[in-house]
Amino acid sequence: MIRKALLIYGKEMRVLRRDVRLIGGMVASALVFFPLLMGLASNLDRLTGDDSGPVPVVAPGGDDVLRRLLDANPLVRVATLEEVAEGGEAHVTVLREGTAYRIRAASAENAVWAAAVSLRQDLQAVQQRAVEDRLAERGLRMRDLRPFEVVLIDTSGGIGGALSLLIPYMAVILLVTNAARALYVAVGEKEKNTLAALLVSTVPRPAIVVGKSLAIMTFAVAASLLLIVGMMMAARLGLAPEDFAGPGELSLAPAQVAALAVNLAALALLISALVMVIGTWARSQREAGMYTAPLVFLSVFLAIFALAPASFGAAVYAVPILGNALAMREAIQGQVDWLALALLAGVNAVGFALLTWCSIRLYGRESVLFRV
Amino acid sequence: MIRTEALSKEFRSRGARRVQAVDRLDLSCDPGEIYALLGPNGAGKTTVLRILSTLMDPTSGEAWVRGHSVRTEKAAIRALIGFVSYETRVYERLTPREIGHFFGRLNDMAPAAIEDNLAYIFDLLDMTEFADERTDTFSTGMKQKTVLMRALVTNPLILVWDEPTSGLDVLTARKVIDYIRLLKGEGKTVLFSTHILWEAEKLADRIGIIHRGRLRSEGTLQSLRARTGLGDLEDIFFSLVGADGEAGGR
Repeated sequence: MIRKALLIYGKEMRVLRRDVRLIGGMVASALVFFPLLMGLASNLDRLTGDDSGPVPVVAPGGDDVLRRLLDANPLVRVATLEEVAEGGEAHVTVLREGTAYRIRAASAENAVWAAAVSLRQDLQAVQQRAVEDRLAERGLRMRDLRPFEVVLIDTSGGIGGALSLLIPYMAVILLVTNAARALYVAVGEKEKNTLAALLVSTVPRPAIVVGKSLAIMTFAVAASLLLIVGMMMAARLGLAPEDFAGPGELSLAPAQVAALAVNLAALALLISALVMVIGTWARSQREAGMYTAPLVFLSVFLAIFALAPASFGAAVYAVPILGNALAMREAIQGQVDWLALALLAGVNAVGFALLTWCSIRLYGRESVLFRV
Repeated sequence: MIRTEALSKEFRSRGARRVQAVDRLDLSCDPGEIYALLGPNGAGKTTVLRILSTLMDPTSGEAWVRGHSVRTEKAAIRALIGFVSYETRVYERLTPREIGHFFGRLNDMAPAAIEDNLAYIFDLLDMTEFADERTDTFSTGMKQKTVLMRALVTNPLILVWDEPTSGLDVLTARKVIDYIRLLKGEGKTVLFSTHILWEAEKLADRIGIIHRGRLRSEGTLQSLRARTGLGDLEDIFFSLVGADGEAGGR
């Protein structure tokens, strides 16, 4: 049975490998398209900020200190009288009320917010210098007020920042979409009228189902692994900002790689079995595509939780896709929880077994195999 | 070699309508014989061949292939037969040689034995020139040869062939007819279905005429002539099928 399943697997992999469009699309999206998209998205504020020029700032009754700051800061400039008169153009207003400087940002644009934050930092620096001067007048230094320092050092060895959230999200979605793209493996025999020859051979039905599922699984895992490599390479090449991957090293330890591989394989096992059921049931690739579309939407919805930098309870590992995305995030961040991973792999394996059983049953139903 | 006894197959459509595709069919095909199952479209020929190839289960009755029941000994039957249908196609991204090796190994053959068989079949079917080219660029005739090669690579004792010349041009159809004759020379049993009268007349040792799932008559052309008192197969066919069509109100 295993030998024949491997023969089916070998045939399907050969057929997939020779599908230039399918392979080209998978490699290009994993290694080029999504890494470039990540680079573009993470640099969006910088790119848009450069184009918009200094943000006009209104500072009525501003003092000399404020005026000097406005002149020195390249992100802002003093608004002209016309801009003040017309209103709307000057999005940032700085007002001194008593001892407070109140900065009002009247727009959600990135450039406006960047200007407002930059002004706040300038004013805080002025305040810092004023405090230091006053302390000096009394013969004190700043460190006399702070008896010790608190320094946070990242020793997790993992990747942090937005990259650690984005990789699991994209990896899960790419895995599901590529499994769905490999639908041909499941439905192609029926659609192209090659199934009867296979069914009349001495190969057992379970070997057909398992061999085909493994081929879909391999294709989907390959896409996700390539994506992880592609995104890390893009970050290393400086396509994303320096702080995009957090303060840690931009590399993965062998344990992290193993955890990611187990996680992806477990998820791919489940998804490939699901795609196999859909492909066996459907009359054509087109019909099967209609059934896999909701699966892709569901994966997008569940994987989105990996983008939230929050912690979840252990129960989430029993929810496929969601649990996979979160465990992947933790592994990338350097926290490999083998117990959680075992639970996750167990749940996915049970799902695989149930769905494979369904596919085998469908392979025994004439009404499914011969309906056109 | 092949025997059916009160073989029946009923299909149920979604609207709960029942279609009796095969109705208490009794036929027998001897070893080394070419048997033609002749009937109009929708007569139940394909269903009979699918049951004998273990692709479908009968609703009632029984069929045996070399003594193996189609219900309970499917694996044994699959090891004996090669199945070719006008509907079946070939893997488009593989070469004939790769397809041959794939099906040979699925049927537990050693690679050397597969290669020996392939060399013989490629020569027999005049395929050597394109044996290592991908089939997606093949003409209909080349694809048909590849389908036949796929069925023959396991050296089956029995070839079940559903409408061998359907959809083929005259030249390719002629070649297919020649191959069937060749297979008889090899000592193989060939059971084929057709609705083309001259094919059955030219090729078959015995002919079974099927209509609405029931076997109307079975025998050699001479015995059919003697039974009906008619000389021409077309007249025999219409005498057996046409009268029933009128009785059925069609």
